[in-house]
Amino acid sequence: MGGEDIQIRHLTVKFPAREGWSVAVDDISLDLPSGQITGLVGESGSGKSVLGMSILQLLGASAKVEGECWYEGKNLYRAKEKELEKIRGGQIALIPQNPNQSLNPTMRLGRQLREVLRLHGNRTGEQGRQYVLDLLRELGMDRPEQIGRSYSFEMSGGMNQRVVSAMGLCGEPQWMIADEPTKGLDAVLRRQVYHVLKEISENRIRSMLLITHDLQLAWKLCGRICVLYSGVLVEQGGGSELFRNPLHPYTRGLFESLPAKGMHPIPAPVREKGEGCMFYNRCPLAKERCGRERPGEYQPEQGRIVRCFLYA
Amino acid sequence: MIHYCIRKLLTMIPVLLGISIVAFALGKLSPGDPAIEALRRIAVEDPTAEQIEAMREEMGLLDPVPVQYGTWLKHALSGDLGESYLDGTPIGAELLRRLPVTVRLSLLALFWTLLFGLSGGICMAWHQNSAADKVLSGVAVFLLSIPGFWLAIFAIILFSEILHWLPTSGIDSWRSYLMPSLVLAASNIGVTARLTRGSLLKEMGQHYALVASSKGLSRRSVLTKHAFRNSLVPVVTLVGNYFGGILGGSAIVESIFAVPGIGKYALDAIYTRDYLVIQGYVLFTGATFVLVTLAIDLLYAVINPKIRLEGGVR
Repeated sequence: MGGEDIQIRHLTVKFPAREGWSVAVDDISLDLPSGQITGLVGESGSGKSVLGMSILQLLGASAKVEGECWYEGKNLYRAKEKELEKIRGGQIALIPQNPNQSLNPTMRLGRQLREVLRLHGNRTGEQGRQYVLDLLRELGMDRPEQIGRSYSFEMSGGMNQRVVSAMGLCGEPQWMIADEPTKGLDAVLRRQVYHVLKEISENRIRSMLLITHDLQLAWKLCGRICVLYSGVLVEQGGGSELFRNPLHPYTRGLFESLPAKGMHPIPAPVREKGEGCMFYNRCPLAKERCGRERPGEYQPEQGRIVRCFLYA
Repeated sequence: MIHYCIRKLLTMIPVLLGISIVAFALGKLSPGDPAIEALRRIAVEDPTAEQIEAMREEMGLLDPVPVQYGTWLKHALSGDLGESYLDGTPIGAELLRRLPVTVRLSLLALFWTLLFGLSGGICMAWHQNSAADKVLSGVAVFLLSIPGFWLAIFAIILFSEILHWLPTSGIDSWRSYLMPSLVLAASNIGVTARLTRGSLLKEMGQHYALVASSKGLSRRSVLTKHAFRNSLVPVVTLVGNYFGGILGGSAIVESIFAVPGIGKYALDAIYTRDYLVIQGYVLFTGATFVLVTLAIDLLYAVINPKIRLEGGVR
C-alpha cells in the first residue's frame, strides 16, 4: 500500500433527521488502491455518493463525518480547509453527476475550465488555453475553440459531460472520483461516457473511483468492485470474478435484476433497521441468526470479502 | 439580444396606453365641471348657462369621449398636461422643475439600499446561522417593519432636535438629502438584505457551486465568482421595482421633510382636489415606472447570458 492509495477507516456519515440522525454510511473501512479503477455500486440511497463526496469533504456543514481517510500521509477528514483546497481538483478531482447542472450558467465554459489551471499547476495564458483545447479535442470535441466561448445551456448533455470531465482533468490530479457519470443519461450518452472514462483511465489518470448504479459500466471499466447496501459494504472483489460469481445474496439479486438476466426484482425494501444484517428484511436466504446479529466480513476466497453468514 | 430589446420595447406600448387611459379617465370622472372651473380662473365667478356652454364648446368637452382622449393624449405627448386649477401654472413644467429633487433623493436612497442591503445580505449568507447572521437578520426585520413616518419623526427628533446635526426640512445642501434618503431606503434595505441572503444561499447550494468547490476554489471564490452573479436576478427585480416606485415621488417622506419633489406636489394636489395635477402625476409616474421596468429587463440580459443569447424565458 503506497501513499497514493486512499484508505478509509471506520467511516460513518450521519445527517440530521427529524428524530435523531439518519445514517448514510455505517462504519465502512475500505482500501482504494491506486493504479486501478474501483467501482462502488449499489442502489439509490445506499450511501455510495456520500462515501465518494466524503473523500473530498464536500458533504456540506450538516453532515457529521466520523472515521479516517488516509491519503499521502494525511487524514482528509481532519485536514484544514486550505489543504483540502489544494487536494480538490489538484490531487483528487471529481467528475460530477448531472453535467448540465454542474456548470455555472452565467460563466463561459472556457473560463470555468481555465479556473482549474489557475488554481493548480503553472500553465498560464496561451499555454493554458492550448492545454485546455488539446484536452477537449482528446475527449472528442470537434471545435474546442468554440466551446470555450459558449455557455453550458448552449450545449447538449453529452458535450457538457465532456466539459466537466475535462474540468476534472485540468488540474492533472492523481485520482479521479466519477460520481454517477451515467445517471439519467440515455443509452447513446452512456456509451459516450464509457468511452470518455476509458480514454481518461488509459491515458491520463489510472487511479479512479467510479460511483455508479450502472452495473454494466462498472463491469466494463472496473478492476475491483465494492457493493454497498444501506450504508454497509456487503461485498468486495475483483471485477470479473464478482460478476461471474456473486456471493452475497444482495449482489446476486442486483445482478439478476439486470434486463439481460431477466429483470428479476429484489423484494421491496422495508425501511426499518434492526440489530441484524441490513439486508435481512429482503433477503431470500435469511436465517433466524441474520435478524439477530450483524454479520462480520468473511473471506471465502483470495481477494473476496463478503459480509454474510453464508460464508462464515 | 436585439430581438429581446425590440420585444420589450413593443410590450411597453400597450402598458403605456393603458396608463394614459386610466389617467384620462381620472380627469373625466373627477367631480366638478371643468368649464366652470376654467371660467372661475378667468374671474367669471357666476357664469351664465350660455357662458358655460360656450366654454364647453371651446374646451372640446362636447366632442365624443374618444376624440377628447385623442386630443388630450396629443397634448400630453407634447408635454402639455394642462394647468393647475389652483394657480394656473403649467403642470408639465412644474413636474419637470420638481423632478431633479426627487431624482437626487431616489438615487441616494437606491445607493443606500444597494450598499447596505447587498453587503448585509452577503455578510449574513457568509456567516450563515452564526450570531452575526442572527443579529443582522433581526436588524433587517426591524428595518422593514417600522413605518417610514415613524422613523422619519424619530430621526428628526434625534438628529435635528437633540444632536443638531442635520436640518429638519427643506432642501438647502447635500446634508438635507441625508435623512430623507435614509428613511426612504430603510425598509428596502431590510428586504434587500434578506432577499440577497436567501438568494445567495440558494445559489451556494446549487450543484454547480459544489462542483466549483470540487475544483479547489475557496468558499469565498465560489461565493464571489460563481454564486453572487446568479443570485442577483431576484434582487435586481426587487430593487428595480422599488426604484421605479420612489422615482414617482415618495409622498410620505417628501411631505414630512418638506422636500419640494413630485411626491409632495401630488400630495398637495390631492388636498386641494387639483385633478389635472393628479392626472398629470399618474401619467408621469406611470410612464417612469414602465421605463424603469424596461431598464430592469435589459439589466437581466446583462446578468444572465441565457436571456441575452436566446432572448428567451428566464
